[in-house]
Amino acid sequence: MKATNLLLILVVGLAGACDFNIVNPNTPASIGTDPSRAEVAAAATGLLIGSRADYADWILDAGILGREAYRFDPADPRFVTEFLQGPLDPGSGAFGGDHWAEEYADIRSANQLLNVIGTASKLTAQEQDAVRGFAQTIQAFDFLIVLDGHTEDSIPLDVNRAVTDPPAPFVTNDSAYKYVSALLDTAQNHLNLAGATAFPFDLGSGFTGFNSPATFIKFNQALKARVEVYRGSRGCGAPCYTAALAALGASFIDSTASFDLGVYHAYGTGPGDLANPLFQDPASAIQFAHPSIRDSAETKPGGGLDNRYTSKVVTRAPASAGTPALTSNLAFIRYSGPSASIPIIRNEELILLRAEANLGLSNPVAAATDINEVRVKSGGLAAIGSLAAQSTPSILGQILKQRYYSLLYEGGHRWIDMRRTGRINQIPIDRPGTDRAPAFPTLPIPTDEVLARQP
Amino acid sequence: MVKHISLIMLALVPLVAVAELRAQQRQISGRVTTAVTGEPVVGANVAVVGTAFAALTQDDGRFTIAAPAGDVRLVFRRIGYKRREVAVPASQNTADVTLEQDVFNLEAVVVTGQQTAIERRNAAIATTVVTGAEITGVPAPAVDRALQARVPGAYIQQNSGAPGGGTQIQIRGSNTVIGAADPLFVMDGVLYSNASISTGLFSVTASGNPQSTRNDGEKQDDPVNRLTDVNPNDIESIEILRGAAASSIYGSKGVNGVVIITTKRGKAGKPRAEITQRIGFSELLRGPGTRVFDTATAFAQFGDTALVRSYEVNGVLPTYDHLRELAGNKPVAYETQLDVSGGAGGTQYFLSGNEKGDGGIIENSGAQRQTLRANVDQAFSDRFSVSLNTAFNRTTTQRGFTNNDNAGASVTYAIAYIPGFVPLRPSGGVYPDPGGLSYFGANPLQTTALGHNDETTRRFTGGLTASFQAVQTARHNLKLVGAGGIDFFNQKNEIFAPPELFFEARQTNPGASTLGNVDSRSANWNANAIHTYTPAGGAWRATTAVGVQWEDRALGRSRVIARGLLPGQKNINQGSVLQGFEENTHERTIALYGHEEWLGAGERLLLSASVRAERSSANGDQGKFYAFPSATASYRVPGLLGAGSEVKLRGAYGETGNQPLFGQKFTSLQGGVVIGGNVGTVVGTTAGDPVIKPERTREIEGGVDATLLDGRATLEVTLFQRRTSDLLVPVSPAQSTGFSLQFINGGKIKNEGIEVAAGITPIRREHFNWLFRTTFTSIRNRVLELNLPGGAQGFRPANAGYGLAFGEFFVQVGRPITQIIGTDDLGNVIALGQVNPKFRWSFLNEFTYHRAALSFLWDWQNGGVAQNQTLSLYDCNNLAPDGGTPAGQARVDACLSTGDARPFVQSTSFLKLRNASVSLDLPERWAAWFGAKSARVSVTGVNLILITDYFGYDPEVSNYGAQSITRNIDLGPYPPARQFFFTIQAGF
Repeated sequence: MKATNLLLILVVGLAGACDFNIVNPNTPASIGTDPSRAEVAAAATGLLIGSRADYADWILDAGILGREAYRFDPADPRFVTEFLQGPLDPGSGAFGGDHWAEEYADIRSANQLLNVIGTASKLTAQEQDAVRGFAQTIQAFDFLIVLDGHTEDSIPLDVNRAVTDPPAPFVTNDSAYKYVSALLDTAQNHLNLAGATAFPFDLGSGFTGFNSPATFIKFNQALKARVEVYRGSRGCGAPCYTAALAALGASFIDSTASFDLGVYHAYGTGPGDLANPLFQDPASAIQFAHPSIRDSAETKPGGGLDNRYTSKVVTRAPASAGTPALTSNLAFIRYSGPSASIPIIRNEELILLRAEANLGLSNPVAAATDINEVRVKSGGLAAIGSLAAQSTPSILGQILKQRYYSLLYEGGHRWIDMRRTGRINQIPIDRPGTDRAPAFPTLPIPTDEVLARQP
Repeated sequence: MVKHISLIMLALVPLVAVAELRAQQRQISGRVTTAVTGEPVVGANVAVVGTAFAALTQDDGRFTIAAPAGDVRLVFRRIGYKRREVAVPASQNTADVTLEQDVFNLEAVVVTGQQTAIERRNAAIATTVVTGAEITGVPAPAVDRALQARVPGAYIQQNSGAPGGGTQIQIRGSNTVIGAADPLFVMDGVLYSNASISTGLFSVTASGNPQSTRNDGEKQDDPVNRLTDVNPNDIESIEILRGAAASSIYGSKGVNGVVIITTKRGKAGKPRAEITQRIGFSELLRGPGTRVFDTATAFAQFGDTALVRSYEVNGVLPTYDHLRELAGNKPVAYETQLDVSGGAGGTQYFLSGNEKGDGGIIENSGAQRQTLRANVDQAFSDRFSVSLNTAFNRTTTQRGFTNNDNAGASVTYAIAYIPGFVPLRPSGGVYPDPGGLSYFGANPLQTTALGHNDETTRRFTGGLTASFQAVQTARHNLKLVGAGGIDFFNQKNEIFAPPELFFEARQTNPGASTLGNVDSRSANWNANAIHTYTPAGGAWRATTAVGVQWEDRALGRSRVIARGLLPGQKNINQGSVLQGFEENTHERTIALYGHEEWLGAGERLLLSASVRAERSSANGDQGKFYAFPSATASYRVPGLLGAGSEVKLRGAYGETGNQPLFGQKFTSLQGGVVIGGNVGTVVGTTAGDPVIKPERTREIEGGVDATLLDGRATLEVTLFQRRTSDLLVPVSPAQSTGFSLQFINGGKIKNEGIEVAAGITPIRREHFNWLFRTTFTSIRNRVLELNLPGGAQGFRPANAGYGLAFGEFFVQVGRPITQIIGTDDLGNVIALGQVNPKFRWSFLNEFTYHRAALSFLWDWQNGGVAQNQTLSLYDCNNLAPDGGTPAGQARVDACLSTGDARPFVQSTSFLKLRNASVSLDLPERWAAWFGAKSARVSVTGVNLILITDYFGYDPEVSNYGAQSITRNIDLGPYPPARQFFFTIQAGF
C-alpha cells in the first residue's frame, strides 16, 4: 500500500503542476486590449513597414504596365510575357495577382491597432487620437494602392473582421474612392483632436517635417488632394476638384520650396531593414527604362534633354529579352543607393495636382502657371507662353507629360494617369500583334479572393 | 486535471485491497533447455495455465513456480523459442522441458497497451517483431535501415547515401499533409525523438530562401534523423505497431505507427561478455555517367572555339570521370562492440560500449558514433522491482555539400554543369577554376577539400520503471507499474565555406560560416495498474489496465549565419554580415487510458477494447480531452489444416490521431522587422486556427494468421482500410483578410492495403537448413474530400517541386495524395504518377550447413515515380551521357524549349540486393585459443546490387528529407554506396 500511496502522490503532484496554456515563444501575440506604449509604438512603426513592403514592387510593376520600365530577368520571363503580352494570371502572387495581399495585411495591422487603441490607458486621449489619425492615413494610402491597381474592378473595404467570417463584400470603385477620401477626413479629425501633442512613436527619416500630428495633417491633406483629383478625372468633376484645392491649401504645397519636399518611404541596409529594391547598378541592372522616355523627352533651350530625364535615366549597354526581342539601353538612376528613400507624395506632384484641379475648374491660367513652373524649375525647359490659350485636352496633355517626367519611376503614376484620363490607348505598344493592345488597364482580382466568395 | 486523476486512483484503491485466501498450493520445479543443443534457456517465462502464477527460468535454466494442487498445465515461453505447454499431473512436482527455436518469431509477446502485452498467437492486430539478432546481422548506419524489407506495411526509404543516415519510415501510407509524418518511437518506455533537424547547409547552397515565411528554406539540407543515435547492438527486439487499433493507446501520435524498441537486459548468473569487431569499406554504388565530347560536338555545343581548344590535350579533348573523381573514395568503416551482462542477488546488469566509424565515398565526409549503455534491474523482493536504462552517445557527421543548390556549393549539383573535358583535379596543389563551363565557377573537388558541413550530437536517454506486484493469488493479479524517462540531446552544426572557394568568391560577401545549435528535451512518465482475473477453473482470463501518461517536449533551435569572412577565419564574429534565427517549440500532453482484454474459450478467443482520452497544449482547445477508442477480436483454430497447424482469424477497429504541429493554433504578429532602426510589428502571413484539433484516423483491419506444417511454414495476411478526417490542411484565405495562409481541419483521405508476411523452411535436415521469408506490401490511397475555400479541388503542398515543367506534387480530390503532375509537350497539365509504389516485395533466404550460414535479402519495388531533377540538371546542360543522340536531345528540348515534364518524372521500380552474408561459427576449440567460449566470423555486403532503369543515383531518395507527401525528389543527392564488412564475434 505504501508504494500505491507514493504513486498516488506522485501522479497528483506532477499532474497538478502541468500548465497546458503554452504561449507562442517565437513571435509576439496580436496586440491586445490596454496595450503598453511600447506595443503601440511597435504596431505604429509596423504600419510603415507594412506599407513599404510592396511599394517598390508596385512601382516597378505599374511602371512596366505603363511602359515606364522593363525588367529583363533571366530567371523569370513573366515580367515581359505576362505584363506585356498577357494574360495576367490572377493566381500568381508576384504578377497578375499582386498588389493586394501586402496592402491588405497592412490594413489589417492598422485595424488591429485601431481596435484596441481606445483601451490604451498608458496613452493620453490626445495621443490615442494621434495614433488613430496616423493609422487611418496610412490605411487610406494602402487602400489607394489597391484601388490604383484594380480600378476597373471593385475592391472589398469592410475588412475589419475575423478570418473565419465571410469575406468582406466588394463595393464599386466610385464608392471605394469616396471611402478613402472619407477615411482621410476621419484621420484629419483625429489629428486635429490630438492638437499639439507629439506622436508616441518615431516616424523615422521619411517623415522629417511631418512627424507631429499638426504637420502630419499636411501629408494627410496632400493624399486627400490626390484622391480628389483622381475622383475629379474619373467623372466627379468640379465638386471633387474644389475639394482637391481645399485639401491642397491645407497641405504642404509651396511653389517656392524644394520640389522634393514631401513624405517618403525610408530604406536601409541595417539588420532587419529593407534595401531599396529599385536601386540597381546601371551596368548590371535588369530593370530598364522604356526607350520612349528618351524619345519623347524635350530639349532644353540651351540644348540637352530635360533635366528630369538626365537625372533619372542613363545610357548603358543594350540588353534584350522576349520574342520578338525587346531592347533597351536605358537604366534608371532615379535612386542613388540601397538607402535612398522613395517618395510617397511630394511638392512637385502637389503643384501639378493644383494645375489639374484648376484646369478641371476651367481656370487654365492658374493651371498654365503651375505647369510652366514645373517645366522651368524641374525640367530646365522653356515655359510655354500660350499654354493657357490651348484647348483643355491639350493643357491636360501638358500636365500629364509633366507628371510623366516629374514623377517618373516613383509611384506608377504614368499608368494611373493615362487610364484615369481615358488615354490608355496612347501607352506605346512595343510589339504590335504580340503585346496586348491597348495596355492592360487593371490587374485582375486575385484568385484566392474570388475563390473564397464562391458558394 | 487533479480531479480526474484522483478519481482514477480512488477507483484503483479497492482493487489493491482485494485480498483473497490463497488456495492450497504446491511448488513445481524443473529445467528448460534448447531442443538441439541442450543449452539452458535463461529468462523463459513459465506460467500455470488458467491462473495468474508465473515465474522466470534462472541462469541454469531452472525454475520454481507456485501452482494449485491438482492437475495443471504449464506453459513455457521465451522470445526466439516456440511456446510449449506441458501437463503436470497432481502427483508430479517436476517438469523438465526442451524448447525449439522459433525462426519466424511466432511466439513473441506483442504489446497491447502501455504496460500490457499478449502472446502473439492470440494477438488480434498485425504486428511485426524483429529481433536484435536480425538487426545486427547486417551493419547499417542506423536501426531504421536495418529494418528495410523486413516489415510489411512499412516503406523505409533512405533520403540519400550520405554517411550517418537519413531515412524515413512510412507505415500504412501517407496519412497527413502537414502533420507529423514520422512514427512514434518508444525505447524502454521512453519517448525517443527521431527528429530530423536541418543543418543550416542552405546558408551556403541557397537551396531555399532563409527569409521565407513558410520556413521552407532549410528543408533541403539532407539532415540525419536522430534514430541514428541508437546502437543497434543494444537492441533485444523491435516491435512495430502498424494499425490504428494497436496504436490508439498512443493517442494522437499513433497514426504513423509506433515503433517499440526494447534493449537488452542482464540475466542472472555468471557474467558473460561479447566482443564484435568489424572492418570494411564503402564504394560508389551507382551514379550518372559522363557525356563524351569530341572537338566537333564540343564546338557545336559550346561554340567558343578558343575556350574549348584550351582544354585539348595533344589535340584531343580528354574525358574525365568527374563523378569518380568526386565520389570514388573507398574509405574504411569499422565498428567495435563490447557488452557485458550478468546478475546476482536480485541485481542484473547489461553494459555496452560501441565505437563506430563510416567513411564517406566523397572526400572529407564520414560519420562516427560512440555509445555507452547501462541497463540495471534490481528486485527488492519478489514483488517489487526497479529497472533503470541509460544510454549516452556522441554522434558526429561530416557530410559535405550536396542536394539542391542555387549558389554553386553543392558538389553533386555542380558536377552536372561541368563537361567531361574540363579538368578539376588540382595541379601543383592549385585547383583549376572551371570558369564559364561550370555552375557559379564551382570546382566540386575544391569544394569538398575546403568546405565543411559538420555535426556533433550528444544525447542522453534514461528511463526508470518500477513494478509492484500488489496482489498475486490464484484468481487475482494486480500489478502497479510506474515508468518515466527523459531524452535530451544537443546538436551542434557548423557549416563553413571559406571565401577562397570559387563560388564564394563571386558572392557579394564571400565566405560563409554558420553555427547552429539545437536543444531538445522531452520527458514522459506513466503510471499504470494492471489487474488480471482468472475465475476458478481457469475458463477465461480478464485483464484490466488503467493508467495515466504525461509528456512534455521542447525543442529550441538557433543559428547564426556569418557572411563576408576574413581570409582564413571561421568564427562567426569574423564575418561582416550576420543573420540570426531562433525558434522554440513546446508541447505538453496528458492522457488517461483504460484497456480491457478477455481471453477465453480455451485461450482461443481474445476480445479487447481500449480508450485513451488525451488533452494537449498543441490543440486549439487545450482543455479538451479527445478520445481514441479501439476494439479487437481474434479466434484461433488449432489443427484446422493438419496436425501442428493453427489458423487465426482476427479483426480490429481503432481510432488514432495526429496532433496539430506546434504553432498551428497561433495567429501571431511578425516582429523583428525594422525601418530606419525602429523595430515594428506587422500581422503575420499565417492565420492560426484557435480551435484546431488532431487529425483523426479510423481504421478497420482484418487478417488471417496461419501456422502450417508443424511450424515449418507461416503466413500472415492483413487487409486494412483507414480514413483520416479533420485533415490538417493549409488554406489560402481571401487575402483581403490580411493573411495568405490559414491552417484548418478540412479534408479526408483514405489509405487501404494488403500486407503479407510468410515464411517456410523448405529443407530442414540435421546439418542443412533452408529458411525462406517474404514480405509483401501494397497500399493505395485517395484524397476523398478537401474543404478548401470556394470548393477548390486541390492545392500545391509546400516543397512540391520546381515547377510544372519539371513535375510537381499536387494534392487533389479523387487522386492519390502523392500525385505528381506536370506539363506535357503541348503545355497541358497532366498526371504523371504518384510516389507510392504498386507494391514492395522482399525475399530473404538463409541457408545453414553445419557451422556455415549464407543469407541474401532481395527487395523489389514495383511502380511509383520520382521527380528526377538530377536528370533534368544534366539534360538542361546537355551533359547527360546520351547527349547528342535523338533520345538525349528530346530531353534537352523538354527542358529548354517545350517544358515537357514527362522525361523528368521517372519510375522508381528497382530490385536491390540489400545484403548478403556468409558466416562461420568457429569450432569451440578454436575459440578457446583466445579464451572465448564461442566465435564467429562473417563477411557481409550491403547494397550490393541495384537493378533499375532509373537515371543517376538511387531511386530511393528525398531532397526534402522525411516528408509525408513530397518525398522522391532527386536533386543532386549524396551518392549511394555499397559496403563490405568482415566481422569477428567472440563470446566470453
